[in-house]
Amino acid sequence: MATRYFGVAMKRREDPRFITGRGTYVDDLTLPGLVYAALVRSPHAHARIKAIHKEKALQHPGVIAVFTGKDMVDSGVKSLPCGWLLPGMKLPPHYPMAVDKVRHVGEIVAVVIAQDRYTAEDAAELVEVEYEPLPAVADGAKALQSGAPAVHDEAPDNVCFRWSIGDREKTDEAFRRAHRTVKVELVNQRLIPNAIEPRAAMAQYNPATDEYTLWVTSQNPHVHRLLLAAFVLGIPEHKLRVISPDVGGGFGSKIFLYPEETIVTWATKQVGRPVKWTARRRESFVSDAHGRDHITEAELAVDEKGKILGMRVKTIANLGAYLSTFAPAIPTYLYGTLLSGQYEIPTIYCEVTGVFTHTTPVDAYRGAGRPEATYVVERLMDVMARELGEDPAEFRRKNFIPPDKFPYQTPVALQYDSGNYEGALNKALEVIRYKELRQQQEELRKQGRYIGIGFSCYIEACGIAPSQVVGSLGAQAGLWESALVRVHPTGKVTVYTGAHTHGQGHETAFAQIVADELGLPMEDVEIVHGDTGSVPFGMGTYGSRSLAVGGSAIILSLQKIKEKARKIAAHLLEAAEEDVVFEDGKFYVKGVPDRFKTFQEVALQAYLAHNYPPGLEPGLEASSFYDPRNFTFPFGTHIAVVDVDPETGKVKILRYVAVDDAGRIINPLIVEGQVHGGIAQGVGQALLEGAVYDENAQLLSASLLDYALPRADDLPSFEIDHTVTPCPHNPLGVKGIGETGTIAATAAIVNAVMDALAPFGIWHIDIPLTPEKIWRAIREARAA
Amino acid sequence: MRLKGSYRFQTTIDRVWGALMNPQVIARLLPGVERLEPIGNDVYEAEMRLGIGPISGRYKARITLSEIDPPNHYRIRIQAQGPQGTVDARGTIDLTADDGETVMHYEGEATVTGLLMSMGARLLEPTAQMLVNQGLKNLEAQLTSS
Repeated sequence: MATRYFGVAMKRREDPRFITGRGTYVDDLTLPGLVYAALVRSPHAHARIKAIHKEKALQHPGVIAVFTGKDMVDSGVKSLPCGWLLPGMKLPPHYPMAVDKVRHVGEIVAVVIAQDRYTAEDAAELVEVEYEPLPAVADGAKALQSGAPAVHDEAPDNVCFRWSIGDREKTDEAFRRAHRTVKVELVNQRLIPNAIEPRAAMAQYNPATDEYTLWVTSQNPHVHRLLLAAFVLGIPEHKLRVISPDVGGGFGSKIFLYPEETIVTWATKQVGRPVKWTARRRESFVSDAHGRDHITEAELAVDEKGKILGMRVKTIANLGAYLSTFAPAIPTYLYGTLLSGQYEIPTIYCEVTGVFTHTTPVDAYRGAGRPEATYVVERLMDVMARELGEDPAEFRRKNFIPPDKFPYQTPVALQYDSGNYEGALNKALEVIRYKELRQQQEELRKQGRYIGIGFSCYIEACGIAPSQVVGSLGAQAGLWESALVRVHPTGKVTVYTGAHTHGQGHETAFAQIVADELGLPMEDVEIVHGDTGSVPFGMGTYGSRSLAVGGSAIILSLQKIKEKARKIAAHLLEAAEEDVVFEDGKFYVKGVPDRFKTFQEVALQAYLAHNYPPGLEPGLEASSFYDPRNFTFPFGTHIAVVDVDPETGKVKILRYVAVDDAGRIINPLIVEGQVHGGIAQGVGQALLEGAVYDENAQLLSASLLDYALPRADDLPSFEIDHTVTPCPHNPLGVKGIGETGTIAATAAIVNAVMDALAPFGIWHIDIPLTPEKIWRAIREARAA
Repeated sequence: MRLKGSYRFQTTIDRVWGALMNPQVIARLLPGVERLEPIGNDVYEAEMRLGIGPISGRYKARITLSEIDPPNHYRIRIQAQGPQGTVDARGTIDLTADDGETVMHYEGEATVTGLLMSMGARLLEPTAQMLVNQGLKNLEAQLTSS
């Protein structure tokens, strides 16, 4: 079949509505009788709640109700569940509103519902909460020290879990016989996601039907429905409809079931009116799940030839005050399993301690575990290359898993299905003109200018995930995806996907696939997502899974559609089914292309069913549930070139080359956009961003004044290229591109800065590499 | 947050001490006090309006004086709670007579929570210092004019 859309850089169909202000976000929605919720949040990181006085707020004109955590628990509301369990893990309860104690700044203690938002916000200030402040701890390592204040009685030592992967003895043995070893101590700082659209929720209860509808900023509305209905509120699942309309960015932060949507869904029935809440940006800072926050010691051992013998990693992962929905999976199965990177490493041992602290919960944030792993691996590779006096590119090349060794079983559970790491490295070296660049670097140093070249050869496991595998690792759900393809009588097609788009462009990319497969113009295909009322149960979008898993589910349904349509066509053409071929939207008998039935004619007959083959059901629709056989494994080489001003410590990115291998590419324009955004977020972590808590666990970087997101002038014009190694186990040969930039970029930038600072004898500075830190490091180095 | 400093009043130690022990003077000295009443021995309740940039609000405060050693020393604690956070400040005030004038040394530390801290942290210390300086100047003007 001729391909007309696959591989074409089509502009996104959804963008006209976004750029003309016609998108429909949760906060744009309204309902008759709508009232508004404002939340009273704790200013303390840790305190006992002695009393909550509602009276003044209740007397405020326009206030309808005030509820506390106790009100919710008394009415039977349960703890928010955790969707991933590790052996021996501590799972303290997490109620939507604090009941007796608050455990992080921003934890909700009461909700005020009023006629309008202003009144609700004003009245929230009138709720008097008597607190007894208690000592608090924000730092993961300090929380493990004896005598540290305990976050939960259930975990007096603040340890949520201890987890390990790999062979400890074998790894220790590798280090004993090593020719050379290096060790790095790395802080992977806590990040605060900042989707442009803040989280929002609006809920309505219909007493006539006993049905609830929740509109919420969700990356996975079915997961929200299941958790809310079955675990927290006890609403029968079929009486709760969850709709996630246009969503302005998620980056992981909109996967989880949060207290706020739980509160409005519960409250709407209490007050008998629809209730809406939209986060203010300052609420987002303290209530959206944060990302990263690791403290790591990592070691690498090599033999005389510079071939890697083993890797040892020890990480403290700060989980925050409560376990967010998927928190335990991120610093374990999405981190420890990635530590082999692109390299042949005979043995790896990694242990992770998950720690409670008096901070906002931590969960998946773009990359989720994989940027942390890549940062460890790629910093180790650079430090070892420098220790050995080898070129960082050649040291990597020497240790790559060669292309003929796939499928490759790593020592940390994953089996890489395919890869050609040298191909991507070579292309990146070529694009950046590596040899000339090194000469240039040498000359500039003589003039007192310090430029650095940094590599990041990353691997990603995405296309999350084979259900059997994740189930055996502690996931409380399978991670397949659904697709329902409905062909209407006129041959127009509506596709209901369980994936959710909040910036990824599914409405375009998925329509490209469908139009190609059915030989239709794009305009005849509609992609519907984000409504549990119309879409079959689906798992949503995260972990760069939508195309590899959701797209594959669509392909399966399209195959079923084509099979059935071929049966109908064979009947109409009075031919044997096996003789009928489908090409360019037409069914014809093999060898007789001018006697055909169009897809539209067949679709119409499927519904008229007047002249219909015996034994075939009327209608033309098919649904499928696709469970991937394995993760997909995108990879690539990113190279950053930076200029560090030794007088000010300021880093300027001169060039950034990204060569990614995401398998087959459906829409190069969307891929490029994903890569751009991903790199920007990775650069943000390397140079600018970071959550800062003071010694009382007060969040100091709680606004865009203090939390530095990258801006256009912090970034160069990216140079983007690809290699194509198709995924061997999904029907489209696709992998995933949503997170690669974030996974790769932080290490590339840091390696470049350390390369620039090598003449000063500086080996490592913790991220973010602010001018102040670099300036101090240079000053100390000069003084030494 | 820490505050520390000294101030020279061009008046006698008894006059300064007297003023510092007078609730109405304290009310004028502390920033943003709208109401201050004694509720016990050396314990006062106040309503204060505090603000740093966009973060302002009405705070309910309890002020406790202790270690009172006329006319040289006392300890003060201010616990304030408002919609934007809480302040718990402890400090000491020491007066020394010097040639008919009075030198005041003050020192204090405050724990601040909530929005006041997260948004205002960088402005907190300079703002507090400015308010203290202003208050002391006002006090001096009052003492020397009357």
